[in-house]
Amino acid sequence: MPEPRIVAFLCEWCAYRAADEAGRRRLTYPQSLLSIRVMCTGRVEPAFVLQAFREGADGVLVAGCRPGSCHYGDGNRKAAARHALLLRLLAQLGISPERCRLEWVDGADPERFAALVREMTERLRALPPGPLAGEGSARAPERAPPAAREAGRPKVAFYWNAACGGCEESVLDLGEELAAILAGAEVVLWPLVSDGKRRDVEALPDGSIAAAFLSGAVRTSEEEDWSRLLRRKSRLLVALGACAHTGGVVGLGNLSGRGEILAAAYRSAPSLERSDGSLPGEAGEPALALPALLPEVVPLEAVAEVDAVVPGCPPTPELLGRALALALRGDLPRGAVLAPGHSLCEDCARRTSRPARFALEAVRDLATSVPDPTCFLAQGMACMGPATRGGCQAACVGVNVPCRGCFGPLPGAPDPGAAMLSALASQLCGDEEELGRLATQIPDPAGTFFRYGLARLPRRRGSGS
Amino acid sequence: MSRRITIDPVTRLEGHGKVEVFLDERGEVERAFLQVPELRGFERFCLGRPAVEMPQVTAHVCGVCPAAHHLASARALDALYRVEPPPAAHRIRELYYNLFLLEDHALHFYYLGGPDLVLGSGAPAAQRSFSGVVERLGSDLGRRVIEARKLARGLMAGIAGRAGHPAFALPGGVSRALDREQAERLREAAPRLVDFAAFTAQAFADGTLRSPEYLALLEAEPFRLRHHSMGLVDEAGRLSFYRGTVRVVDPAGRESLRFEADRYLDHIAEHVEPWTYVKFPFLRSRGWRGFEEGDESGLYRVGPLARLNAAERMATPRAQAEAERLFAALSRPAHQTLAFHWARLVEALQAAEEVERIASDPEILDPEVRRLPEGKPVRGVGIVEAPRGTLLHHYETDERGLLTLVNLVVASQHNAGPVQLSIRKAASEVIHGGKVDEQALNVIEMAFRAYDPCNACASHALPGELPLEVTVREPTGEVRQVLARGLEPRR
Repeated sequence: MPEPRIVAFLCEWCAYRAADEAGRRRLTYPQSLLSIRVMCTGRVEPAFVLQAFREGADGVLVAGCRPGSCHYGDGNRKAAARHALLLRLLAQLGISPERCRLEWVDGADPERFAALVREMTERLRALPPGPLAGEGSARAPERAPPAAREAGRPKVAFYWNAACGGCEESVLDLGEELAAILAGAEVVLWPLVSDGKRRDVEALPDGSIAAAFLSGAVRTSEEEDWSRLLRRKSRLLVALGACAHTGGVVGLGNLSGRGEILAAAYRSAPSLERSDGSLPGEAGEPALALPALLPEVVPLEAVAEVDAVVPGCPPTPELLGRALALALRGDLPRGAVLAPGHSLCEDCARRTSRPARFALEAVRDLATSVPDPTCFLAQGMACMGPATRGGCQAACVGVNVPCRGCFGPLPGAPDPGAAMLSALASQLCGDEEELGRLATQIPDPAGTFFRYGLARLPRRRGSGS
Repeated sequence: MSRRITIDPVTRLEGHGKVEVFLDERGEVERAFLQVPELRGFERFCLGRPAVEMPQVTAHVCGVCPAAHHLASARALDALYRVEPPPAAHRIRELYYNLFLLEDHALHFYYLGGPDLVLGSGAPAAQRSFSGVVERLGSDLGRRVIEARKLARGLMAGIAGRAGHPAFALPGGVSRALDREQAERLREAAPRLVDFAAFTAQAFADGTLRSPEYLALLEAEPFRLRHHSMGLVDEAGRLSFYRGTVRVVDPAGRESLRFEADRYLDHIAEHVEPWTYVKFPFLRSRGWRGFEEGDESGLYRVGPLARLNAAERMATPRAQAEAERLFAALSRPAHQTLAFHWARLVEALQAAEEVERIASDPEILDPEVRRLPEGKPVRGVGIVEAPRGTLLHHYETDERGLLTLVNLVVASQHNAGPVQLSIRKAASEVIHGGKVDEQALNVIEMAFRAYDPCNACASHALPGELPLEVTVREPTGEVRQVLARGLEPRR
């Protein structure tokens, strides 16, 4: 069995020195460590840890100075707060706490450092082998077709995968404007309006559709096939809405395996007449077969190269109208995310009450409290605003409900869930014990910080997949 | 060896839908299935989430009727936390909900069901669209319909933050009180909405009830189904969308059940079939007897016509007058599947009248819109009437309010069994000796479209109709005949 791989973030002032000294003294410990020197454990973002897992680490070690001895005051205390919350997220993802450790190591104690690495390696060996689950499809994403030119009106297609139809409703909310935008185009596929026949799409030359707007996450084999087909046929593939963009709420399905999802619906639901009949998909008759659920929900980009994104759950009609018009004129830049590049906070009426620094001694819950008309974060309520792209017209915060992040990441900050988990944890006050207690008051880190982005997280496969 | 006819895609429930018709050797219909080939798994992935997030999370079940899920969820949370919202909170939720019902129902009429009714099943495919309806009923109608949708959705967004995927309902009330300006806009708009709903009901009466073809279709055998009917009623037995008691009447119209949301498990069970992801609810008292109609069948219908049957009367005067007109024409209870369209317009009128009534109630400006729960959460069941029928959310949590059980019984699911039957019945009536023609296609399509199954509902707001393709295959699987409709892209 290969040696477990541990990514270690080591504080320059202590753990890194201990590691250095251990080497100088020729202490033996497993060569499983990939060391990264950081100035302080406070520099270690949860996003780094998640990225390490995503890239195949079996374990992550964060090691730094003992509480009270941080060179920067409270860097290690912040690290402890983030760690407490991160462990709870990892538990939800099926990742054992053995895989993610925060340890205090004195610079003058190389023996302890070596022992720690030996012990962690042993424990990782005892765990079922990683790495964590990859994306749901074993196949590489479908690439864009070679550039093609089509005479005549530009062809446009709309299709939906695992979606609720809310994006399409938003397109319809354009009303009369929609007719004007589509006036010069030919709609070749739109199950709502015209025919949804696959055969006709297959018959089109590759690259002959000017733009395909595809909503929904990819949950079934059939949806993957449709996504690939539309990619081949379209010069521009636009991910429409949060589910196509980041997996959306459907991505929460990755917290469970396929077997568990089927069991919850057809085995343990309290209203079933019996709980031992055939499951859907077990028809036995080929003509009545159902498309299989993929092992995992994935965003569109996992199965097909995406040229542009209209974010949101749902995107506003304004953003959609603009995206449609640009796409049909051929002016849609590749890689564009068609929403403002600033955070939701900029659009939030509560922004003036957001303090530069704040200290949280308690976490509040929407079920049992009424929010004040000030910044939710300052009140101890999780809000995704600072890490989330604006453009939603501040709809939820406008009715006194914190943001859950449907517009997705900001430019240059690809992991809003990890960023907000870190930001909120870093505001918590108290000693290690108190931080642990406060972290448990945020009961559902996965559903809170990754409501729309869970499909992008590393995780262990659930049972029954 | 039998032959097989596929209609794919048809409609939209959680995604897509597909009809399979199997013919025997003589070319007669042997079996017919509406398959729903998708499952997203809400019952599972909501577990462990805080229940308070459910009104937002479950709104994502359906982008067409997020309002229904949002409020069914809120009702379940009121029960879960054992907290009664203040009167103003109920009013605000009801306002929002009636606006939604009106918008959804009216649009179904104009865009989806309307073409069938107003233009008749014989009209050329190219005319059977919203624009065809507009042409028949008058040219400023199109503008009026688009305006009414815009008006209603604008008012909804004012209350809930946005029209779709709302965020305003919480256990014990709502997250924001109405301000004077909003209330004024509502009061000002309400009469226009009532006019619009009344005008629509009248347009239906003028354009359809005088049509011998429609009347013949109404009574035609493929479109009749004798079933129990289910719907919410208030304490006076009046039809209610937002709260009340579930009432079930038997095919003869006699009350056979009345129960509170939290007793649903005593009365409803669900059956699973291996060929679809949809579960089939039935009345426990009758048991599962397969897909059969009649007095003994445990299947029941929900949705507009079933609600009219199940209620003793409508809640508002003009809607009551319309309901009386309907029952006078069809007898009571009504089992004509195509009368779902008519009942939808009766309900749209009630919704508009309710908006007007509530908007003029000074109580809606009361700033007290939320009561905080005091007790520990345990179990809560919430029921509302979604446009397509009874919608139920059942949650159980630990004492921190984290979900340990989620069960959703959605409107199109209650009707799934009757829809199977309607399709089989329609197909059996029109397919003989293996011959399938355009007319057969229309009839099969009309039989399920009347239910406005949620997979179709997204089509509401665009001109056009459900695309349909029927493939007739030889026993070898070779395609012998393809009939397709709605294939010309239209805008």
